[in-house]
Amino acid sequence: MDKFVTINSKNSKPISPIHLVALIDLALFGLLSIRSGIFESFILLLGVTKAIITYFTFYTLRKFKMGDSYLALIVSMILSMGLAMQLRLSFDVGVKQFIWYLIGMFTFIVTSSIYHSVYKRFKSIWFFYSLMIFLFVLTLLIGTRINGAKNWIILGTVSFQPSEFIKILFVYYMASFVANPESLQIKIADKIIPPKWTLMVSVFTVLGFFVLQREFGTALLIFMVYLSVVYVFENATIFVAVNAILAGVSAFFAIQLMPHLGARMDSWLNPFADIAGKGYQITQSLFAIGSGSFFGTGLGMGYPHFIPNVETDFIFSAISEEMGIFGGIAIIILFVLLVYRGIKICLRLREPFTKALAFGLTTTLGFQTFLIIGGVTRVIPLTGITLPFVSYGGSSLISSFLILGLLQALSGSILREEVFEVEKIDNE
Amino acid sequence: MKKSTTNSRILHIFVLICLLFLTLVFYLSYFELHGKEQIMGNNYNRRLRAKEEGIIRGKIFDRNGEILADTKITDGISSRSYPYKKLYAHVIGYNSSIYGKTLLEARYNDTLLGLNALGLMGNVTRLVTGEDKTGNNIILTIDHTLQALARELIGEKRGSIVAINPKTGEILAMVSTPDFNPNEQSLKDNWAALSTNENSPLLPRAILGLYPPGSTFKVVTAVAAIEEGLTDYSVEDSGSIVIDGKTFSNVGNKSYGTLDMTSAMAFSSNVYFSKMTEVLDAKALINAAENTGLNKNFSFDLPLNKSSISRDLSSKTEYAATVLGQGKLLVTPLQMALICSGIANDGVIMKPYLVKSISDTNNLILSNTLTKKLYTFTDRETSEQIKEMMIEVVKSGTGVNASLSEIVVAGKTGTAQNEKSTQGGGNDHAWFIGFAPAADPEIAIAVIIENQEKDGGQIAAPIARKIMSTWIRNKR
Repeated sequence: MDKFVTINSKNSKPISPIHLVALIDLALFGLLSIRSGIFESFILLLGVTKAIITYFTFYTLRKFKMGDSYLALIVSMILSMGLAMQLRLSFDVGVKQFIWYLIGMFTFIVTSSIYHSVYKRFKSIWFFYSLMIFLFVLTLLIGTRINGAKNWIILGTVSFQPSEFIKILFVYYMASFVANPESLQIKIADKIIPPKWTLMVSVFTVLGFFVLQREFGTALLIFMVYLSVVYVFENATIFVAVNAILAGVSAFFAIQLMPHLGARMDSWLNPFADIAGKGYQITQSLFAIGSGSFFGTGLGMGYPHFIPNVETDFIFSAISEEMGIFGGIAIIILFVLLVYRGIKICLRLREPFTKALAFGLTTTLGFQTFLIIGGVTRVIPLTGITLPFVSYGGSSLISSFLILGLLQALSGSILREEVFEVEKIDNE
Repeated sequence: MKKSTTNSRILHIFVLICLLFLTLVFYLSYFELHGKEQIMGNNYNRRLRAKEEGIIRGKIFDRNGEILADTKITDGISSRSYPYKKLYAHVIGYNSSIYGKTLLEARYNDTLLGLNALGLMGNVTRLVTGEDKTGNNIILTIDHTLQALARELIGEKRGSIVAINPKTGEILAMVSTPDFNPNEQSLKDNWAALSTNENSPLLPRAILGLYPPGSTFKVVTAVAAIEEGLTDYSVEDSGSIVIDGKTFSNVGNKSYGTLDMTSAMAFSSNVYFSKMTEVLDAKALINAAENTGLNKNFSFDLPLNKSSISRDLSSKTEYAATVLGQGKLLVTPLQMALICSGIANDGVIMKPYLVKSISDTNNLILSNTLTKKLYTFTDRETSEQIKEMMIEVVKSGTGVNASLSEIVVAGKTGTAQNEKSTQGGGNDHAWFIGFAPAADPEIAIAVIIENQEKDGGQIAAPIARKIMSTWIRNKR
């Protein structure tokens, strides 16, 4: 045993996981390029491009000491599986997703590079709140209803989902509150209302807007983020409990009053009762996961197209069908790693604003992943929400890369803050 | 101080997220191992049909190579064809794009489509050449001649016949009536009538029908009695007996005088066996019944209803009724065939099976089913004694209609009261179980004909006799 360890540590350096990611890229895209029987060099080219971008990002982050170089690597691995699955489902959609990936990487690099020069300018809590409300009103006024939820804004050929960005604004809003709670202190008739009650009212207003747009998934997501931030930074267990109960009661009445929401509950509790109607999506998802078993049918050997919306909400079911639940569990583990790196960053940050920001962004990624995977596997009711970095869609991908870019920048701030602390001590 | 508690609360949330993800991992594993079983066969699972595209479903043969199910391809569309129509409806079942799959077509779906490990081997070359893939064939233990004869003998009556080779457990014939034509077009035309008919033509009675066994169950009672040392038990039979205020009488109130167990079995005396409950421990009876597989499940090529006996026989009248095969007791025809084959095979019940072997598209045998012991019913001596009694039943008792010249037959008749007959809406069920040749049994059989005016000895025994003689004579 000891011998083995010494031999191993003396004679061979551990292989960097980055080569593994590149190898998987080449293997997956290589397989896809010969899938139809004819060699399609373009698909392999995409794989090579992705591997090069991965290497480039990894070494650039290292060279310029831009913080945690593993964040982007974990995401790159998630993307390998996601992009391969999209390309397998449909060549056109896959290529579009690849373009969004390129734009996303650009967003990521720009965000993580310029963050430090601009972040101090945007700290006003009311700025974030009014921007959120503005986007809501805009969506309600000129939004388009797709799949039941009125959450799209279409301007000519460009369409985007404001809620994907509202969730980031919301994290900013929460972080501003943590940094400067007095800004929400309001006096009514000489009585000072504690800022967290003002916060509660404002958050429930945001939730109300989401419900109005039938965006239950995002509503649940920001509510979970809100509770986590309040629990961690305000140390207010009773306040959290009051919020949870209040939300539970309003959810109960919402289910009774809104037939759309009631139908979702029915299709969760008993999908087989109305298998041709409400239960169709979720049962097709279960059939897919079941037919994949542990090792999957193999890429291209299953029938993921039987699931409606497979490339967006149900991408996890498609992965589970063709790569098995081991493939699905791999995705889950990668997200656990991502959350772990995020938590690590926020543990080391000291300034309340950056700490809360890193925490909010990390939990957003974690809870969002749980909500959608739990939904398509029928562990929890299905809420239409995307799987970060994997589901098809420009808004979803860009906002996920935005979150990643911010986390990357924040991981760079650790060093800055430490230097700052040292300087402060020196000055004293 | 404050900072460290903030960090510990951050870790709380991290642990929470990890637990949420762990729940997903556990649920996914549970779903694959267990949770999906119930749902994957659902008709809305389009994968079941999608998988079949481009695969020629394997054939089904009887034990002598007679084709019982085939796949016909006309204009590129393949359809299942059953040349003997209704004859195998309750054995093979059907494979329909509308109504799904049943029985062997369902249980052996992956084999017939070549989707399991055996199927992969045969299709390696076809993967390269791009020809349609072929599934594997299955070869049944059923003998087509015997099956056709059994079906002919039962005619328009409702009931079931199960014939087994007692030494191996091979099922030689299995008939359930009423039946139906399983070909797709016929199913389409008759589905509404079939699914609403009060005689349940879609029910495979041999394996799913539960009946009171009537006097055929006295075989099990006798085994319990001999095992308890009641071999020499005798009763003065005056035609009826009162137990706990309830009268148990012989068929036609006949009195037989002094009876030992052999003559009681031969005449099927209800008085003798119900009187025996005074000395026979109910636990011994339950035990003997469970030794034949009652209250137990075993794996079979087809779905099977569990035959059962109540474990609580504390009421004297209920116990007396159970001894006679009435009371809290229900069996499938297959179960009675197994009990009978247990006596024929020196007390050992062999595991019944329908699929003898699996072959590939070139009729090369890929695997054979091995014969296995299923239950030990009783010991050799006891089974010999019961055999003698059953020989007497056919020689001089209620089962004379089953007797053959030159071949010694052992058997037991039964006339079972049922819900319909006790409420005056119909007649009793006629039963016969038996095997032949008694010295070296080659076939064991159970016959039940529902709601007959005549009793088991008159109506079921002659059917069994013809089937047994045909099988034995054809073999020689």
